[in-house]
Amino acid sequence: MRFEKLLVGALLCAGCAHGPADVPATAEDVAATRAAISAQNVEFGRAFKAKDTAALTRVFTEDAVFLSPAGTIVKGSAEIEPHWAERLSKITVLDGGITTQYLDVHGDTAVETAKFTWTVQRADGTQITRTGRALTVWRRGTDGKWRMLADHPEYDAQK
Amino acid sequence: MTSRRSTLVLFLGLAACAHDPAPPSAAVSDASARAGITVQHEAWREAIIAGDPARLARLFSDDGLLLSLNGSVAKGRSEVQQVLEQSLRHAKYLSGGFTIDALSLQGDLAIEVAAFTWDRSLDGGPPTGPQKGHAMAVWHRQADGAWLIQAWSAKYDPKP
Repeated sequence: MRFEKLLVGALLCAGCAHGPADVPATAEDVAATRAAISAQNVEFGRAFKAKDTAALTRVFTEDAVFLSPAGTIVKGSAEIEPHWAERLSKITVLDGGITTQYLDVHGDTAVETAKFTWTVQRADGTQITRTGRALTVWRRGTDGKWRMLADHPEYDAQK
Repeated sequence: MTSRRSTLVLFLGLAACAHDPAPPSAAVSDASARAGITVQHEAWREAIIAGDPARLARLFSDDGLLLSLNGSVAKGRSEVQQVLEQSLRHAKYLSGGFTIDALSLQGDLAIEVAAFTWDRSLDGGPPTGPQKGHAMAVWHRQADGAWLIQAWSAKYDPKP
């Protein structure tokens, strides 16, 4: 009888322990997440330069929200792909990329600040290099892949 | 006697593993998150009109991030306060506020797109008139149920 009560107590206590989302990420978790997100940033850059709007859209979750530098709010895959198609009809990205600055991992969600540089050619043939920074929220899908749930890039002021 | 003692052990064991009043892992509704974040928007409005960077910094979590309008990134409440102090030396906020445009809950995090309008006086000049902008904020729900800013990025919209 006594053993049974103690067993029930132990099981109840185990049941009220915090779940994995509350456990601080280990250094290994953060390193693996950083590597996975860096790989996705590289894929974003590749797709951006290749004008591959389908691949660009796949870097985002289906319910993602994108806040453009112009202040336009773009929500979900159905709006995100046309947004990139319209943007890339006016420019060709020649070079550049994204570098993670800070990354805070909270279970299956990660908050990143990043710096970026893009050299683009406009329709009139002129080239320009712009730098900027972005606040990006990443979510890990059931397939283990990290995708952008929210992204807010901003260009630095032109000097 | 043995049975009473084991019951007491069981009770004490359960009491010891009880959670805090508002555990971060507790499910939170969209409505309650909106209400909690709206309270913080109002606190931001009051603090910025009062020109109080310390009050503004307290709206950030200990390790909160601020992507400022000049392109710098401040991490941690102390750095955030320094950036806000510098910003408020040049701008006196007269009126304005935030509205929630979009909100997505991810456990204890809420990702918000907010619209804002501020009427300011820059470097002692006349009021700018209402200027619109957008912000992306990541809010982190604390153990006491309050929402604090984990990351903040904002910019005034380009003039049409």
